[in-house]
Amino acid sequence: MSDVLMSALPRARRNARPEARQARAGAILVSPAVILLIVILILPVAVAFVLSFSDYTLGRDTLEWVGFENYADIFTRSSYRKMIVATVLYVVITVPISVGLGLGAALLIRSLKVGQNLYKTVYFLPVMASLLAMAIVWEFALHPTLGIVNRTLALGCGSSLELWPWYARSCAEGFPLWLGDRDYALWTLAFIGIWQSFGFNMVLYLAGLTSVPRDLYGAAEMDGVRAPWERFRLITWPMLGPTTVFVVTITMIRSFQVFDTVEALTHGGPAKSTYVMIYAIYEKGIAQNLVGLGAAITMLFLGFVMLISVAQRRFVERKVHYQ
Amino acid sequence: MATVQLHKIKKSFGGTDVLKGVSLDIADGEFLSLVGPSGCGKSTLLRILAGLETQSSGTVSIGGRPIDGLRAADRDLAMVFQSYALYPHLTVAENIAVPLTMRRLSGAQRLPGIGPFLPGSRSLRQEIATTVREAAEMLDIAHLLDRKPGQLSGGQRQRVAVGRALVREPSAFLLDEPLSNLDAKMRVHMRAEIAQLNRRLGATFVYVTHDQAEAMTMSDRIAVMMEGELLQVGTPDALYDRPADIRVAQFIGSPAINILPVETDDTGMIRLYGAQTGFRAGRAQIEHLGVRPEALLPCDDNELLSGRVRLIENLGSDLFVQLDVPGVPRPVTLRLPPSARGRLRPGELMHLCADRARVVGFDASGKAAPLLRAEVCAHV
Repeated sequence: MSDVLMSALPRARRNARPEARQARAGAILVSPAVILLIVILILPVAVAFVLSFSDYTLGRDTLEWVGFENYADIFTRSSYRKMIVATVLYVVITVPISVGLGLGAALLIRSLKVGQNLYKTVYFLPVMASLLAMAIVWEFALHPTLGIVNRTLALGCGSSLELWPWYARSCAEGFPLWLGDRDYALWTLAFIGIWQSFGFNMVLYLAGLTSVPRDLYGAAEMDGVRAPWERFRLITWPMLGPTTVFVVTITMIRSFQVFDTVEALTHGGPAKSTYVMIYAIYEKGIAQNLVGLGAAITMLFLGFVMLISVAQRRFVERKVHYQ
Repeated sequence: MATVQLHKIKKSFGGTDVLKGVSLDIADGEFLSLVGPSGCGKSTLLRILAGLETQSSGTVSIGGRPIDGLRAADRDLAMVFQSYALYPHLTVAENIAVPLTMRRLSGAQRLPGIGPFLPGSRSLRQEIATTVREAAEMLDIAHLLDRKPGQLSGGQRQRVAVGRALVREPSAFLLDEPLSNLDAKMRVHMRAEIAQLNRRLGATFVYVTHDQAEAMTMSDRIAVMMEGELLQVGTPDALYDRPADIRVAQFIGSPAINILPVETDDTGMIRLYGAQTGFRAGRAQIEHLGVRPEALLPCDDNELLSGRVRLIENLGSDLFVQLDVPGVPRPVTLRLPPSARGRLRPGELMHLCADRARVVGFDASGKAAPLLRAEVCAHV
């Protein structure tokens, strides 16, 4: 009796409805991806999440649960407040300028009759170069006394440039220690970040511009649109909407992740003015082996990134796709 | 409303001459079609007229006034593009309003945010909204005013593009293959609507198409272009019955005209495959005869040619019969009434004669040349 049942079972499954069969095949086909996703992405995040409630350090056998103490540290201690300020400030400076420059460069390059490829290459070079290596070059260039930046600036002393109060003061008291002064360090890093990333944005915008139908410009001309600014407002900017959302999101996430230049040039200083999140994670979690604290900062970081992605999906993407 | 003159327009891109000196006069309120195979330069000519492209030499005038130095925006023309070129992020109402806001509102009044609150802006905007609504009602798209182009069908987008063109009452309309993205049924429908629009507005229409059927059904006059030159300009009837060039004869009409390769002998008699055709050459040597399918008739005597039935196409309203004729490279097509249906079999031998008034002769260069009837000459 039971033998009959056993042999009938596989046949019954084979004769299952095609939808069920397809669903099963689909589940099998998708499983490698799901497993990889869990092992590589979700599991580590979950582990970090769990560890963020402990005082775990690498190499010690025991760990103690400390509850929300790590998080409380982040939101109460002044060094972590400085971390959030530095990170947000860096993003707020870098994103609009590098997106704006990327768009501007793309528009200018598109309007050229000759030399398009030369400019594309020149602006894209910093993107291809290793940021760590470039940071070292910048370190030389920005050296307070020997660097080419301050030496060049010093050449302007005595000229009409001194009408600018900042310039006159610098000529008298010396030009800034770009990376050693807490009023300048973050701005200097942001400058390097912009220099490095806007070429990438330019390439994305160039790609976006090629997808704008040329007939639209003809139609606008026939409709009486004369000024380039009006043309930009009526066609180029709206048609670049999807590109802009993508560029802003990517640039924001990349700015949140800034690490190379901080590690190479300032180590988070002076006075924690460039103490950005990824550097804090590295310093706490790896250099000082405070894994629990590092994990808590990581969670905060992931929260920021997730917020950006959700904002992109929810608020913007729906409004910029016209089909 | 205005006349349009093109005088010796030439255009070359790099080394290739796209337009080789095109001259054309278009009357006020006329519907003129520029027709020709793709790549013949008709769209370039239209874009030059619009001001979107500059000619290498020649003059464009509108209402007798040369406008070569004027930008497209200042030429007072409206254009409907093949792709419709609607602004995808604007609603239908905003799309149609663009030509009006650009012309009636000042730069400051157009600014987003503060523009609508500037003095005078409000009443102007209301005027524009009224004009847009009137245009939309005329085109039967008033119910779509709040939609975006992405939510419309091809035919509806077409109407919006027409609406945007007519809303500011330009002196002439330029239409660049506006129906080529529509399905066959919609195309026939819009064909009639655009022709009606021309009559209702009384404006000059310049219509570019590669479809001779569109040109034949809609136009007052047709200009046939090939390889950057105008071959013939005339009414649809004139082009169909009296083509000036063998290429015009072949381009206009569906099914195509029958071209018979012939010889002119020493006495001026025209022979087809050695047999007399009953025609004499006038001045020039005749190399080809053109006969429309409906000008051929089956008959027993006085035959022009004979051939065997190759294929019978039944269209319901007409019967098209293709014959293999010795000495003629392409099958010869003739049109018969549907009553002839049961009487023909493939492979059957048929004798044909022609409505003699409707046979056209072409000389060696492909130009139309006079034909004389052989019997008439025999009496002299």
